[in-house]
This record gives sequence, structure tokens and C-alpha cells, in this order.
Amino acid sequence: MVELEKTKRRDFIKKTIYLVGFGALANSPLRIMAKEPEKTTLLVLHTNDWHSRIEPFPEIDKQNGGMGGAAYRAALIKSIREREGEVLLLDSGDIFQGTPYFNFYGGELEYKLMSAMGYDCATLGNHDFDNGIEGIISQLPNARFQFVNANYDFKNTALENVVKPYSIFKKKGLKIGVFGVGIELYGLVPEKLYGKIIYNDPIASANHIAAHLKLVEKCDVIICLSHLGYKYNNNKVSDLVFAEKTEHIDLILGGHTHTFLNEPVQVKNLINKNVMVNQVGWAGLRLGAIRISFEPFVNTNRAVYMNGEPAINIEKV
Amino acid sequence: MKKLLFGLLILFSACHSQLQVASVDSSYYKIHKDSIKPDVDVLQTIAPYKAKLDSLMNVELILSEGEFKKAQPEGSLGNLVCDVLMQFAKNKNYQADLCLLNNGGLRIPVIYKGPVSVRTVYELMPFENQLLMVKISGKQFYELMKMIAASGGAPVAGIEMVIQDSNIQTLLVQGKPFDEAKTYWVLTSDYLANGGDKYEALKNPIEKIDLKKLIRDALIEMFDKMDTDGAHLIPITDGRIRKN
Repeated sequence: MVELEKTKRRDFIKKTIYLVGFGALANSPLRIMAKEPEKTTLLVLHTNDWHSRIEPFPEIDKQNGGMGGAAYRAALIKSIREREGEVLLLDSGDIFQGTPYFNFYGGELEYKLMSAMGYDCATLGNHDFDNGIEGIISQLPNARFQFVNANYDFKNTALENVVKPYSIFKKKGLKIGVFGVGIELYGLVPEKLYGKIIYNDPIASANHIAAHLKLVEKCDVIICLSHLGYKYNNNKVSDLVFAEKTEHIDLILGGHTHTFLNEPVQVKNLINKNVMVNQVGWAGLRLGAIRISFEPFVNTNRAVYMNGEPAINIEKV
Repeated sequence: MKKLLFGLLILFSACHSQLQVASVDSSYYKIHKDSIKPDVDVLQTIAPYKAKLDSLMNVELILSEGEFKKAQPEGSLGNLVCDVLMQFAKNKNYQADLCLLNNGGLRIPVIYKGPVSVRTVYELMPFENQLLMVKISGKQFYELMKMIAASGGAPVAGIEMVIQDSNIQTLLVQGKPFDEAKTYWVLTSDYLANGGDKYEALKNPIEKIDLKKLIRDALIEMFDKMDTDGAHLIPITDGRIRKN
């Protein structure tokens, strides 16, 4: 069994949930009498900002020598699947750019290898636009996984209807909603590369989509793939800010800032529920592994929406 | 009350009742080639791509005699790149007052002691950024300098600036005091000249010359030439941007 260097920590997300709503149920004798259902858990594996690092870093590199490498990541993922069965494998963007593999092959190998590893879904990072919208489109035939983003308006671009706001996955009998949010492209990506894509507020977009996924699609868990960045010293929206101002999201898997978090950071969301924020550095040096345990859904939703509209009106996403 | 609860319980155990997250167990794997055998299929997929790249990338250009580091307010890596680009432009008869790049554009944090290969330069400067000369007014130039001071320093050549509390304390351009009445030539990337990193002062220049050269290719050419001339790379920090 491949354990490598692995850290472990247990976090209980919804400690306070039973204090409201149907809370009495949790501690009632009826619950004890009821047959305990078999515990289903979901293992979420994730990467971010792997930046065309196809090969491990060379030995001369004092910090990262011998680390990373797609063939090693693939072997690790395969070994995890062998003991685990179905997993959800996600990436938070900036797949492209950073080694000559991208300059010479335009991301062909990156998408092919991610497909071989069985990635389910990714979001777009700013560097994924480095060969323009056309650069993504031309490599899509190599990608057997979904791309999601909920706050870029792709209307009148080649990515319209190609990148969806969200995607729903069914694994281990669970319904998993995955959506994406991306960073403001203006001032970061040359305008000629992102063309007519319009950046919308990620917080408003996320609240819209997440409410739809939880209340209409009735997903068991909602995961946001973010390329906003973990934390900033200015008022730019980061994962930490985003986490505080959204709801219905369970897990935010971030990128962009190449932040190495040894464990997810727990943040109180808009309605004071816990949401986890994680990021695993860059360059495919690490593979994040998050195991989620479940319990019956208790709707403690206080109906707070950024746009003031009820959740039911968002079916047109 | 009991009846209500019982009813709810039945509801929950219906075929697919919606669930929510109860707890999260987190861990991560460090991926190291000594810890796991590589996936053979993936290695085979990579092989033809790698063979072609290696033949182009493993070409050694020049020897580095020390470690070049990315740093603020000033780093030896940023100094190297800007100094070499200034020289490249000079060889083409373009005399810039300032060379300005961005720290975010230097994509490896260190160039190690030893041979610098084409691969090193690709990884340092992977973007398809073009080298430009832009002529700006003294006022625009000072705005640019203020932004650099506020951001804590950027890779530069041609100036000497002392920053105090994120503001400019003293500024020399080509060894002379800054003069707002003058115009200045800035050697930079098309990324910054077109609004990247929000350097607004570069966006509306008086004049713009495209050197029709990728920054990466300029560096490769220069390192190759310097090596032919018998030069090695030696890291320097000379206080061109410093904090008071």
C-alpha cells in the first residue's frame, strides 16, 4: 500500500447543525433505535496549478528535486482507486504553462494524461488562457473530463456551452454537485487572449448555483473548484472571503496562489455553517485527499440570498 | 411530537434521501519518485514528447557561478534578466532608460549554480511575451515608479530607487536625478505594456517600438553569445531598489 508521507486530521464540519431546525432528531432516542445505515464516504482527490509539470523536478532543484511528475501521480491515483473504488478526482485550474511541454505541444499532453488518470472535472485558471480561447478549444478533444465555471460569461465565445457552470457526478450512490469560480481576467490575462469573456462577481454567481445544486438538484455535497486565490492583503476576493460570503458550499478546493495548506482551513459561511477551504501548492507536488462522511440532510437554510431572489427561480442556470 | 419525528425518520430512509456532510477527514500525499513506481502507461505516453523536447531543451547555454534568486525589493534573478535584456537592446541600438519586468513573470524562483540550459530559460520565462520599447512622459514615468515603490519593488535595470514606507524617497535614472520635463524610454514586455499587472502608466505611450523578439529568445541568444565571449553568470544585488 502506498502511503507516502501523509498527514491526517479529522474535522467535524457541522457541529452546530442540530441546534436549529429538526435538531431534536439527532439526540432523540428514536435515532438510537433506528437501524444505523452503512456509512458511505466519498474520497475526493485534488490538485491545482500543476502548470505543465509533466516530469518530476530535476535533482539539482534543492527545494523540489525528485518531486512531482505525472507518471508518479498516475500510479498513486491508481493505487488509491484499487483500495477505494470510486473516487472523485478534481483540479482547480492552471493546468497549462510553465514547462516547454506547453510551449511546444500546447497542453495536449496535460489533457491526455489527466484523462488517463481519470480526472472527473476541472475549472479554468488564468494561465489556461495563455494560448487564448482557441488554445483551450483545440485541446478539448484530448480531455475526457468536464470543465466548470459559474462566474465567467462565455456568451458569443467558442467556450459558450462548452464550459458549464456546474456538473453533477454520481459516485457511490451519492449526488455530488461541482461548480467552478475564476479570477478576474482583466489586468491578469492579455485581453486578446480572453476575448469576450465577461467576469461576473464570483460570490453572487456561487450563491446562485450552490442554492440550485442543494435545493433544486438536491445534491448531497457541493464542491467549489476555485481559481480565486487563497488570501490577499487587499480587498480582492479570495477563497477566505468567498467562503464567508457564500452558503450551501461544503468544500472549496482552491488554486492560483500556489498555497500549501497542510490541512483544510475551516471558515464560517454566510449562515454560520462550516465550510472547508483547501489548496495543495502547485506543480503536482502534492495530491490532496479529503474523505467526506454523510448524514441525513437537515434544511436549516435561512434563505439569505445575495440577489434577494428565492432559490427556486434559478432553474435557468 | 413523537409521531412527527417518526414520520420524518421514514422520510429520511426513502430510496434516495438527500444527505449532507457530517465530517471531513483530510490528508495529502507528497509525490516523490523514490516513494512510488511510475505508471508505465503514462511513461510510454510521455516518451515521444519528451524525446523531442530533450533534444532541444538540454542544450547548455552558459555557466552560472552562483544562485540567482527572485526577491523584493531587489533580487539577483530579476537583476540578471533586466541587465541582459538592456544589453540585448543596446546591441540592437536601442538605448532604454529603464528595463522593467514583473516578479510574477519570472516563473522559477531560483537559477542554481551550474549549467544554464535552454530548458532553464523556458521555465524562467515560459510566456510568449514580446520585447517592447515604449517612450513615456516624465509624468507617466513617475507614476510607474510610484507603482513599483508601492508594490515593494520589481525586476529593473537602469534606475536606483530608495523606497520609504511604500513611497519614493530618492530616484536616479541612468545615474541622473529624475526630471519630470524629460521623456523616458522603457524596455518592457508587451504583457506589461498592454495593461498586465495594471501598470496604467505604460498603456498610452508617446511612442512604441516592437523589437519583434520574444523575451525568452532574447535571453537565449544573449546567454549563448556571452558564453561564446567566455563569460559566466555571477549573481549581483547592488541596491538598485532598496528600502530605507
